[in-house]
Amino acid sequence: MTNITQDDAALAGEYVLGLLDNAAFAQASARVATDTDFAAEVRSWQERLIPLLDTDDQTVVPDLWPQIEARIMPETGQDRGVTPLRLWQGMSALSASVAAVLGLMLANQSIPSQPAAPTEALLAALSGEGNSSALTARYDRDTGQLLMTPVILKTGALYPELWIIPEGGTPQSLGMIDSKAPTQIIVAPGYRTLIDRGATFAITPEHDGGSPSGQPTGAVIASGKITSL
Amino acid sequence: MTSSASQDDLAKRRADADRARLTEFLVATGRGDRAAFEQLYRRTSAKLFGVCLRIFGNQSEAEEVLQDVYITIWNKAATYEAGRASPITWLVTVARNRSIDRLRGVGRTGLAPLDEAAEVADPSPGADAVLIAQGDDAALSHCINCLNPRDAGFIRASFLQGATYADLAMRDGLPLGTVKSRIRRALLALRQCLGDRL
Repeated sequence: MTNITQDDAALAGEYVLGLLDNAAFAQASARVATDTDFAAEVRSWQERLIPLLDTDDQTVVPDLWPQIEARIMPETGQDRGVTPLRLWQGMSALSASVAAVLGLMLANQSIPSQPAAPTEALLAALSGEGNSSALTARYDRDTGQLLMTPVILKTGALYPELWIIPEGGTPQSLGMIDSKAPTQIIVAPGYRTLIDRGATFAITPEHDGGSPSGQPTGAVIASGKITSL
Repeated sequence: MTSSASQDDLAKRRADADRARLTEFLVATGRGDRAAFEQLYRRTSAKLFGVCLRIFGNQSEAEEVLQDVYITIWNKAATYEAGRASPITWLVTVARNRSIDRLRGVGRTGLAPLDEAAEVADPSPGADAVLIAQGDDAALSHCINCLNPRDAGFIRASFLQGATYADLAMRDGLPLGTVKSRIRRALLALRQCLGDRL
């Protein structure tokens, strides 16, 4: 058993049940990320309650793979090379507003056929589930400029920190961003190779000035994989 | 070694191997490996469909939410950290949270979407969580049955139907504060009852 107060033990249970309001939930999320004992208690509650979900019903499980595959995966794909048109189909979970912003970006970008190797822009749509957060990212490889545009982004009393997570790698901070207005970041040269297809942008709530450890401490509230036009 | 001991041993080794394979598929899914994702789907959809069905009690809604669950898994698999949380606990938690969010109609309740909680599971060493979880069905039933029936109902309604404090207060005609303190007390009683096991 962990060193945890009765209050915190009950709080962790409420967190897992989903009884906390937004503010309390955000605070508890931050504690999960920073307080090992509290996090262990949250995990214990998940383990404790999971048996409630067990059922003896032997139902035939429909094969939903074709539908799921269609939603995650564009056609011809080698790994995650997503073409803009097909991208929309994978974005059903995304808020319409992000789709709209991304649409503008695509419209501006893909004015047809520039034969001479155009600058490759990388895009990402970041979202949290349930439209709780949504942003777009646009990265210009030539200039190293990254534009983060929030549509909805709430971090309570904390501040949004942006991370890049290379495939199979660990998160690297790209700095703090504004939760309400677009933020333009000039990515430091050493970090530019990290921003590539397949890598993931993620946002976590952190204290002002960013995570002191250089690793995320808050829960990921929005994330999205990078794709290209 | 007795034959039952070696049977247990065999079962444990099988469970470990299953867990290792699931972990592998989940991690590869996080890298965008679609073949691994399909394997993950094939191996876990029955279990997760059961979770959705338990919450929705309706085949067609459960089918719809199951698709959302796997889309969520695809999108979030990169946040799963092998060796920390057991893969099946992680997956079941995603399925339950996604189902509850859908049931609640997130945005209307003023409550945080539970999906955000799914991947924050556990910075502590992973240990044998999956084995513990499997063994604890009977213990949980026993301990829930030891609670005041109304409190047990509160916990069930909250976990399985996404009931909020306000829902429960209204349903039972009790003040909000009363419901809150009863649930917190019941949670602590439950925790104590299960205490030796987790």
